[in-house]
Amino acid sequence: MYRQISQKFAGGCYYLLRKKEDAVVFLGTAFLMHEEGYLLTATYLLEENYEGLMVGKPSNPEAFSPLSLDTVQAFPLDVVKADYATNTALLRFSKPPMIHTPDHMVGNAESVQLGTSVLGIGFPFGHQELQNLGVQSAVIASKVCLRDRVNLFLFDSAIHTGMAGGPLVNYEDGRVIGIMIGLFVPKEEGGDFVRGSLPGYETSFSYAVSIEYGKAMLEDLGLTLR
Amino acid sequence: MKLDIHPIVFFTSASLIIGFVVVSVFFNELLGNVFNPLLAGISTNAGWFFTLTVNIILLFILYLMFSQYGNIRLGGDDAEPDFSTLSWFAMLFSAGMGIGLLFYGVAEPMFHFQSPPVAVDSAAEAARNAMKYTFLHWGLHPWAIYALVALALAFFSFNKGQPLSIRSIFYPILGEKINGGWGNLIDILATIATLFGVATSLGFGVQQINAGLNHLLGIEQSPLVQLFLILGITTIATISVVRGLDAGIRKLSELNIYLALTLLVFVFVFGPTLFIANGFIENIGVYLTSFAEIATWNETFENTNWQNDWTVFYWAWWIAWSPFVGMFIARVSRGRTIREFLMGVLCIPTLVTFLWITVFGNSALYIDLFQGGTLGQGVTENVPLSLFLLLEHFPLSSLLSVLGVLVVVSFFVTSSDSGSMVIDIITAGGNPDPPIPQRLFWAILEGVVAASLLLSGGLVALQSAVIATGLPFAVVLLVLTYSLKKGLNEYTGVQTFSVKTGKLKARNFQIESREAPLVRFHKRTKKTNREESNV
Repeated sequence: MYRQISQKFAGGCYYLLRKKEDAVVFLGTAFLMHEEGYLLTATYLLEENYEGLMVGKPSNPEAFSPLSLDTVQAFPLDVVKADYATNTALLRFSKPPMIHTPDHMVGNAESVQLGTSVLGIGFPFGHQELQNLGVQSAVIASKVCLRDRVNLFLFDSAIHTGMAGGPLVNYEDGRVIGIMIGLFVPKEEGGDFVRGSLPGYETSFSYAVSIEYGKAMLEDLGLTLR
Repeated sequence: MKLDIHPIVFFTSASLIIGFVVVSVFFNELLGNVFNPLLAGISTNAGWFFTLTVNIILLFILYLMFSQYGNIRLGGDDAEPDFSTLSWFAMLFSAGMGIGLLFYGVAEPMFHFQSPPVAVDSAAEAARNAMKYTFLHWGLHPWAIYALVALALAFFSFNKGQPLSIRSIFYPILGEKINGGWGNLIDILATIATLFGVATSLGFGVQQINAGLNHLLGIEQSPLVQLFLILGITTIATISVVRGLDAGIRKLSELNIYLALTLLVFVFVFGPTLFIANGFIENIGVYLTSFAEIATWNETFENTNWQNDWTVFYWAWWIAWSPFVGMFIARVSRGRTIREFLMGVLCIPTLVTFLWITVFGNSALYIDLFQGGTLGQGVTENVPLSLFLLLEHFPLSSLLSVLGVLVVVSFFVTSSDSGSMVIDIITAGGNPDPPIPQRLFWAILEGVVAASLLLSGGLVALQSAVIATGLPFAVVLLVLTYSLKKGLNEYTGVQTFSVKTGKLKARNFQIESREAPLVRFHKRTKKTNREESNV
């Protein structure tokens, strides 16, 4: 099943880039959610700068990727909506290609139970020269609601920063239940969460925001999700 | 006034239908000279092909029922049925068989009893064979044909996101071409075949109702009476269609089933109850044991052509009607697994049909076999009266006959309203709930076409034309089995993304670095909401 989920979503996952003159810098992961060219990612990856965003992907994630890939092919993107409170951003190809998505993409975050197996998919880009798509399995460790009523999934796997923005997929039905954000490291005060490590707060947990926010953004545009 | 039409399909279909009716009104003799010999030629030369096709379809449906595909839920894993099982069954049965059973449930066994398809030694053997062949024509094969078309439509529409339209079932073969000229052509043909099929049935039906009323109440058989009957049936059907599937068609179908059930129970209780009960078991047993033989029988060694008027006619008729009935069944079947769906569409209606034919057919046979009756002769001379001739042998026969007329009328209305609903959906580009003005248009046009054909005498020719479409559509159904299997295979396998950039070329960029920004959730404030909406 892990293999099937990987196959299902591999073609819809992109590395998120920002253009700087003739080069690009890697920001994280974004994934396709609608045939009209809409992608979701984590808002913080955009750094409140919506200029020069692009996405690209390796030609064949199943192939052994060369270690020193120093160029990427990329397409420009626009930001449709970016919600900092829920850390969910909706992007769209500036010129959408012809896209066909698999059926039954969106899962039900409410019904996910603790201990459910999940698969995170994204690009642990730059990690020891790793340029290719990667997957990480985990189980749902906790369901958390922030003070601001933002629903999070905690899962017991430490994801690489490049995986952030990628989909968290329910193993049981192969549907996306969240958008991966990063490692779960709560600060003592305030209830915010920071990526990185603070002494005494390290865990092996990572977290994802519920897909319901991305789903709502698409539905607000009158789009029907498959 | 808000409309939701597929302009090419809607206007082309409407124009062709009106044009064809005008031609048939003025040149019905010419049409008869074309289509009646055409139908005869098809029956004689393509009978074997129909036999082959319907058997392939039945085997394919049985295979799907017991295969891994049976677990697929129409509409996706989260879909729930729109209607209760009883309502669902009432609607598909009313649309699928309905009126024919009322007449041929009595008439067909008596026809085969009077003129056995194969030579027999005794009256008992003739009666047994009569029921066997009637079961063949009304049993698993027709429901398998309906199930195939309905399943393909439901699957490609509810699971693959295609519009609820006949064109959608060819998606695995034609791909995106279904949205172009080919798709339009398929939908136009389906619209025309459905409307003419329902309209000709309506035309013939009112003649039968008129005959029944004449027999019961002495009301004259005249075009004027029949026009009023069409007006009445079309009015009720129009109201039903306008009220919608749940408030109109479902309620009428349920009423229909209750009325029919009352008639069935009455005949069972006050008829030869033991003979019927024995017969029900035995008829099914005989049908099953001789199934392979009669289902593949082609009169090869007899060198006769009895099948042309019966078996081949039925196969062509069911196939010609399958776009209409299939579409309607698909519309009401969302939320069921393929296994439930096929059990519901293939097995249960077949069993109920067998029960109906046994109750009415065996009752009629009993009268001629053991009571010295001559029902067979009367029935074969006047098919429309067959039900009423049988009911004459029961207590409260007048009351029962009135109930019979009511059942006939309600079956007609449910066939008519479901036919209109199907045309509404196709010509609205697959919208399952088309706007009311369109529903009115097609329901009324159906009545107008039936009335025009009735007055001009073009009914027979047009019915021949509709049945003649069974041959090309049989080929289409064989292609459909391939298309559905392909679609199901793709669905049960791993589905992946497909992104075609076409002329849009990606640019190459050097990778400069990677960034690892801090993640921080902002508290939702008015400010962040404003930022959000300004993007």
